[in-house]
Parts: sequence; structure tokens; C-alpha cells
Amino acid sequence: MTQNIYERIHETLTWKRIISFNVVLFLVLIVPLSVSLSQQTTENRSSAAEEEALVTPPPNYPTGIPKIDRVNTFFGKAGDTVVILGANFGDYQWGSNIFVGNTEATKEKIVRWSNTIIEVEIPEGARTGQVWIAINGKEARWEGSLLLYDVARAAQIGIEKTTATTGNIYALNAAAGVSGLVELSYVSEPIGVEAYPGIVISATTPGSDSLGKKLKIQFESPIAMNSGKTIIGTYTYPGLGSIEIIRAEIKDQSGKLIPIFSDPLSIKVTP
Amino acid sequence: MAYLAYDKHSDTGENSVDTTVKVQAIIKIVALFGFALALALVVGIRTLVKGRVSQVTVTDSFGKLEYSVPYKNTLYESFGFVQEPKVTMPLKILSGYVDTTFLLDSGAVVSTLPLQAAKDTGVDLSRAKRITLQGFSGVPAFAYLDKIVIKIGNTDVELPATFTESNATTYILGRKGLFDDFTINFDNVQRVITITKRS
Repeated sequence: MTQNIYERIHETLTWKRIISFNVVLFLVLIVPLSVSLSQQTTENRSSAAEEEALVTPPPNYPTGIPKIDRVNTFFGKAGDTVVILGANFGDYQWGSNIFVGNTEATKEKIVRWSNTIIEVEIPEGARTGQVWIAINGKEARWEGSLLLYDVARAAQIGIEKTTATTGNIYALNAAAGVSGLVELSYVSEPIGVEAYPGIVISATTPGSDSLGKKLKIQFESPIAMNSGKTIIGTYTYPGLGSIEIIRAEIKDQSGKLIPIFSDPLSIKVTP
Repeated sequence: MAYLAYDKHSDTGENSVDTTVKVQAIIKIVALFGFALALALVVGIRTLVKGRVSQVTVTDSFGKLEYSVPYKNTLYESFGFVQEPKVTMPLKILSGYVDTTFLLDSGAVVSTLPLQAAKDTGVDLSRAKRITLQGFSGVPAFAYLDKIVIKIGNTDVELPATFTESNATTYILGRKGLFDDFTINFDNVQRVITITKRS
């Protein structure tokens, strides 16, 4: 009787042969399999690393006199960050002090300290007032006033473009304001500002600092401003670069500063 | 007259022997290629489970929220095609939700949106906390800290976000809020980003 195919397979393939074949197959495939696995991206998981302790070198104060060029921005609320730009602050705070809105900012409030830039949070308890630093016994004061504001009650100052080369400087909700100043930073010259009807520009002072050119416009409003929009002046410039309000003050009849702020959308005009 | 003899017992015995041999032969053939078959099975399952994603998929059930999105390629003049981990998600604005493409940036501390987004989402920047962001040049730029709401699947997710003073900045989803609560897997081999949250 002839054997069928099943019987021949059953007799030929002994379990010993099957296991041997699989071992050989494993040995043949293990090499490319290992290479393929080793080429796959490794996933790394780690717990949070320990924070490195910052090492501050010993004090090495600058020999030059410290100077504050700008306080950016000139208004804020407690907790907001202001950037103080100038020179000779020292590379680290070391024993230096900084006062923001007549209040000393503690070390926790310092966001960043470098020789030309200090970033600091306005401390709780700060009020509209001066900004100054004391570096190794040498003091530098900003000529302006940091204005602490409350959105619900404060006036607004802004700048708006009317054409590519002209625009308005205006105040909103500045009721009782009779005088003030606006300082602009600009890039292209010539720049000019004309008083809007009802406003008198008493002085226009060009200047410059380490960050560029600026123009201080002092004005008076013979009739006190109202709670609506008051256009203070119209600027004209070549239309190149931006113009930004870097400082502003509005005072009432008694010479008291009115709290003001500016919307980030209306503090600067760009070409 | 012819007779057909039919031996029931003998026939059944022969068949039962045949079946046993048949089954054993099949088992042996399978066993012969057992290792190769097992290997093919593992590779097949792996491919099915981690298959390439060519479209956005969202699973939002049984307490598991998973959002998968394919990598997008961007052609750079200097670098050629670069895989961009960008995800398009609905951002809650004043008038509802708008599909917004964010760059998923594990290097960014907090989500950052351009100034226009503050207008769209109704954030009053005058009331928001002002902070500084450090750029490449080292010159600080102001940003305003508030919150945004994005929709992942059917779930609203509130994240802290900063709004820059420029309209030119990219919509970025940073670590704070998102990377704290979600597992985010950037798989550059499968070219897929998977955002997973388990309740």
C-alpha cells in the first residue's frame, strides 16, 4: 500500500528535526532582528533632575556711575514686570538695592539682573512714584515717575496712525488733566509734533540715550480735559521705523499725577 | 447478480487512523515554521497597534482621552523639509471655537499666542499680569499672562497662556498645563504626535 502525503510528512518530520530547524531559524533571524531593534529610537524616561544651585561670584561692582535711561513700561500694577534699562548696574545684584514706585523690591522680585538691564516685578505696596537704584553706594534715579494704575479708574494714553507718515497722540478718560508730557522714541527723522486745537505745546525737547532717539513733548490744556478722547497733538515723520510712547504724565490743577496706562495695542505705531 | 459488501467497522477504523496522521502532520508543519510564524505575528501586531497615522484621530471614551495627529512637513530654504510638530485644535474665542494651528513646543515654558489672539479671545491685556519673555537677542519682550481654552476631543482644556505684543509670533503650546496633565509622545519614526490623558 502506498503512503499518502500526510503519512510521509508525519514520518519524515520528527520532533527532533522540527526543533533543530527552529533553532537554526532563530539563529539566522536573530542577527537582523537585533540590528533592527538597536536602530530604533530609544525612549528615555527620567524623574526631575535636581536643580543646580546658582553660584554668584564675589562682588565686582562697576567703576562707572550707574545710570537709568528708561523704565519700560512707565506704568504697571503690583506684580507686573518693568524693565530698567541703563548702564553700570553690575553683572549681579550682590548688595545693590532697587526701589520701584518708592518701594524696595526684594531679591525675590528680581527677575533678571545684568549690567545694563534689570527686570523687576513691581512689589506689593508700591505706589506711583520714583524708580532708583543704589549700586555699591552710588545712586541713579529715573527722571520719570512709575505710574501705578487701576484699569477701572485710570486714564489712558495712546498713539494712533492716521496715514503712513502722520498720526495722533491722545488721552482717554483724563478728566481734570491740565498739563503733562509725552516722550516718544523714534527711528527716522525728521519728526515733528503739532498741538491739536485746544492744546498748547510748551516745549519740545529732542534727546537720545543708549537705546536711541527720543523726543519729549510738554503740553498744557487751558481747558481741563474731559472724560472722553482728547487729541493732544499730531505727529509727522518719514514713515520708517516705529514710534513708541516711552513715558507719559498728565497732571491735574493741583499738580498731582493722574494715574494713566496704555493699552499694548496703542502704545506703539509701526510702519 | 452482484453484491456490494460494506464493512462498517473496518472502514471506520481506517478513517480514524488517517485523521490522526493528518492532524499530526499539520501540527508538525506548523511547528516547523513556528518561530517564523510567531515572529511574523509579533511584527504584524506591532504594525497594527503603532501603525502610521495619516489623519487626526481622537479617542475620548472610557476615561481615556487620546489625540493623534500626523507630523507636518515644512520646506525651509536652508534645511529642506523639516518635520513640524504642529497640531490644529479648536481655540475658544468670543464667538465660539476656531480651528487654530499650534506649534507643540516642549522647550516653551508656557503657551504663547500673538496679540491678535488676545483680541479674539476677549482677554483684557490691561488687567493681565505683565511678564517678560527672553528672546534670542537677550532683549526682553513683554507678554501678558492669562488663560486660554482649547478643545481636545470633546473636552475643554484650560491652559495658562501669554499673549505677546506682536502679531507676528507663532501660536505655541508650551509645557505649563498641557505637559503637566498630558503625556505627549513625539514619534519621529511613525511621524505622529500623540497627546494622551488618563483620568
